[in-house]
This record gives sequence, C-alpha cells and structure tokens, in this order.
Amino acid sequence: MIEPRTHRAPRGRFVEGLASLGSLAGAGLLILVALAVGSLIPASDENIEHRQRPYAVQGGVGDARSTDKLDIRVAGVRGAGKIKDDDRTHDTGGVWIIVKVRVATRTEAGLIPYAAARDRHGRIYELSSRIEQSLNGRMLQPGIPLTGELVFEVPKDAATDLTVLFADNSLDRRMDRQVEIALPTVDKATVDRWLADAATTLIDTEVSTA
Amino acid sequence: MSWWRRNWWGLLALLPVLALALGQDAKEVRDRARENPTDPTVPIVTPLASWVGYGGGEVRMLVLKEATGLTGYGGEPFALPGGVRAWRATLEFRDPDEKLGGCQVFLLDGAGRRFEPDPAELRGAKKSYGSCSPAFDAAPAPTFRNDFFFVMPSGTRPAAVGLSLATQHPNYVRLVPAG
Amino acid sequence: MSGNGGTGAAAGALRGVASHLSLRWVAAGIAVLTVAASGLFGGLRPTEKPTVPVIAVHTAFDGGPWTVTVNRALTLKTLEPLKKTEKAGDRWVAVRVRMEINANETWNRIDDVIRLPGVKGLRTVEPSEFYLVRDESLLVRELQPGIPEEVAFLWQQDGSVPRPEAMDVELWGMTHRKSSLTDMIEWLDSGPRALVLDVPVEDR
Repeated sequence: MIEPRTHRAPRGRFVEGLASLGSLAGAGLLILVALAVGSLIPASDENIEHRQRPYAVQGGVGDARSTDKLDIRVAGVRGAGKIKDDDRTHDTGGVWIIVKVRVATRTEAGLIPYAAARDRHGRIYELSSRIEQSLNGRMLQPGIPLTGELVFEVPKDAATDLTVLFADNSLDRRMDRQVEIALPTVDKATVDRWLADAATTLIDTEVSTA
Repeated sequence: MSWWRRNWWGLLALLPVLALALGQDAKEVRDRARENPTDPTVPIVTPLASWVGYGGGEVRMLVLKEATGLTGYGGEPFALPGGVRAWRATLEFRDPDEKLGGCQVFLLDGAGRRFEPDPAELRGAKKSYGSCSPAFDAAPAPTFRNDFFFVMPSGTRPAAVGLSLATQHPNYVRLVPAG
Repeated sequence: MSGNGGTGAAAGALRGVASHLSLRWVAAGIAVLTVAASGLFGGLRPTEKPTVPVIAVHTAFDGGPWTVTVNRALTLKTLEPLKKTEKAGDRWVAVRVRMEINANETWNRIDDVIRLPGVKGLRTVEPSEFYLVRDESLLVRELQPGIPEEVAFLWQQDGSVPRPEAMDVELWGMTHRKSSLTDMIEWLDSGPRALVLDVPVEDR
C-alpha cells in the first residue's frame, strides 16, 4: 500500500500567502544579515592595510631568518655622524645607521630586493642613496653568503629604537614574508657619541667564511 | 516537498563557498598572478656537443668544467674566496642571422638553483665576458665560440647550462654535460 | 482603481499625457530638466582655477607629504661640472628651498613640489633637476622623513628669453586619503596649494 504524503489541512489563502511571504522574507533577511556582517569586515580603512600587511618573521641581532628569496643574519650595528666615501665625507642632519649583515640568496642570483629601517613610530627609511653601498648593489649567487654593511640615514630621535626590514619585493610588499630584525635600543648619549666621532669608512663586502 | 528540493539553492551556494575555502588562499592566488607566464620553464634538453636550433640560430655546448688556473691581470694566480669554486662553459654558435645576440646564459645545479655569469666573485680575474655574439673584431666565420664563467659554492656541481631568449619563453635550451 | 478626488484626477491626467509621449520625448525632457537644474546650482559656470593663498618668502608651508620654505631664487649660467643644459645657450632657473618630509616613508616624488607658472621659456613644466646642497649633488632624488634639507629645484630656460628679475613660485601639495582604486590610504590629489609672489631672482 502506498503511504499518502503528509496530509495537512488546507490553510486559508491568507495564511498560505503570509507563510510563503514569511519564508521568502526570512531567506531575504538572512541574506541581508550575511551581507551586512560581511561588509563590516572591510569597512574600516585600517583593515585593508592590516589584512594585506606583510607577514612578519621577527628576530634580533645574531638570529638567522629567511624570506622566500634570502637567508639573512644581522651581525651588528654602529652609528656615525660622518661617513667617508671614496671622494668625499658625507655628514647628516640625522644619524647614519650602519648595519652589518650576512646575506645569501637561496635559489636565484639577484640583488637584495628590499631593505629598510623602521622606527618606533612606524616611519620607514629606505637604504640611503647618498653614499656608495657595496652590499646593496651586489649580485648574490645562490648559496654563497656575503657579509657587508647596509647604511640608513634616520632622524636623531629615531636612531634609539630601530627595526631592520627585509622583503623580496620592493614595489609590492603586501602579503609577502618580511624579516624584521630588532636592533638593540640605544640611549641618547650613545647617539650623541656617534655624532661626535670622527668620520668612519664602510667595510668592503666580502664572501663570508663559515 | 523534499528536503533537497527545498534547499537546492543553499547547496548550489555551497559549491563556490567550498571552492573558496578549500582552494588557494589569497596569497597563492596573488603569487600565481605574479608569476610571469613568459619565464623560461620548459627545457629543450640537449646533450653535450649536439647542436640545437633555437630562436632562429643554433648552439651547442662543448665544455663544462671547473675553471682552475685563473690569473689576475698581472699574471699572478687569482685567489677565489673561500668556499667558492669557479666553472667554465664553452658554447659554440651558428647564427648567421644574429638571432641569438640577446640571449641569457645561466648555470643550473641539481636543485634547480640558477647562477648568473661573470659574477662579482670573479672581478679581477683575467677572463672573457660571456656573450651570444661574436667578438666585434672577429673575422666572419660560420661558427664562433664563447666562454661563460660562473661561481658556485664548493660541494655543488653544475647539472646543466641554460640558454634562453625572452621571445622563446617558456621554452629554453638546457645543455647537459653528458653525451 | 479609484483615487480620492483631486489627486486621482491629476494622476489620471498625467497618465493620459504619459500614454501619448514616446520614450524619446521623455528622455529629451529629462535631459533638459537636468541641465536646467545643474545650471540653477552653478554647474554651468566656466570652471575657474581655484585661487590659492599667498604666502611670504621664508615662510614654512605644509604641503602634506612635505613642508617647504622658499628661501631664494636664482638664474645660473652653468651648473658644470655637474651637468650641461640640453640646448647650448640655455640657462638654469633655480629655487632654493628648505624641505622636510612629513610622510611616513622615504619620499622620492619630487616632481610635483613646486612650479614657476609665469616664467616664459622653461623647457619643462616640472623641474628637471633636484639638487641636494649637503652633498652638492644632482644624483640624490629622495629625502628621508624628519630630516630637513636645503635643496634646490632647477629648470632649464631658453637662453634667448630675457632672464626673469622676479618670479612667482607656486607651491604644490597632496592629500592623504583613501584611494578609490586600491582602498588604501595614499598621498593623492597633487596640485597647487600656495603662491609666493615676486621672489627676486639673483643672477649667477
């Protein structure tokens, strides 16, 4: 025997209409709620920048860290008020920050794509183009590490607390892995001492031993 | 009405949602979009000493070996930095229509790492510069040869020499040292 | 369907008219009304260049990503050994400025900081050279945030045009706002923001 399908008393046309309207409205309401919740996520200006920010891989002096392209280890940092280049001495209205780095490219020959210093306010100082930087312009061959210095120029009040950033792309760093090496904080007296010292010379970039 | 018929729209909506959730994340999509579809990724594998046609010219590799005995410009032995070995590839070209002049030549190891010729580590060593064109003062000849110098970390051996023209990408010539 | 009294009659009249109008007439009518309305609200006035405030020389001006102070203007017969003018006989027109970057990142967009709108015979509208006084160099084309520098913007000028004795220096600026393209906050809307009038031009 065939079971009849669920047999319900016929409802009035008004109730029927209301019910179908209700379920339609209910579905519509759910859709609206979903859209509203979804639209709240990108609504804030800050959120775009935040969502697309680089992935930070953090470390300190002496730590080995990597981006997709590079293996990096910051070996040390010094400051100066004057740097001697081949032909002239370069003074500064801020402070020269000289970071000693050991770096190798992992799979493809290339230059260091991006390196910058960031202060505690989030301001970013790219490698200085005022002086000749032998490490910055050097073609790296895979697996052959080089040691050299990267030079930044920053305002005096930024020099006490800096982080060095490395990334694989200079133009579009959104969502890339970014290495962030915190430099040791220094006090104002140290910065003043750097500025009072005689002019310094940068080290030559060399293939690293060990 | 059955559950399926009532909820077909939800199930349909589930498909793209699942695809987004389980498929590539935003970073992967962005990376894929960034990959240059015209990079040299498809090798034309060519054994040692065999000619291969590419881009309107022909090329073959005659030699791939460690470059020992490099000297400086004063004749003194050239000291390589520690942990580094130098390699030389000799390529021969047959290119009457000068189609190969804009080529790129590179060295590949077994892991696919790519090394560029005339590296800074050989600055000061007396050697020619790699080129896919004949020397400008050379007498016209049906073929010409050029040396390409590379460095690799000690303990790494070359697996092949690559030669590519941007116009031929994704195809590139992969010259292997075995016959 | 029954309306109530007057509105019903008006609606009926409208419906009657509407049924006789073709779509083309309706569209034309709407267009005419739109133009008339925009005219009412001033949309038809010829667009004038917005006037910018006048400031004095040696006054710091915040243009957004940078703060500049115009200090001097000069013409120079030569910049050698640093650079030669492209056309022989041309001279250099220079504006010397103190500049500090307010933006949060090293700034290299230096083409839209300053203009000389009234000076005849300039080979380019934007300055063709940027001079860093500290290094005596034309090769440094960026400044770091927070470190004020003495710089000069230079233009090449047709040598057959008489050298200016005084000139107006137009200062540009940008706005920090959300880009409709990227949805990120960026420096946009580059344009004139202030004017320094009649800066005397030294002859070198």
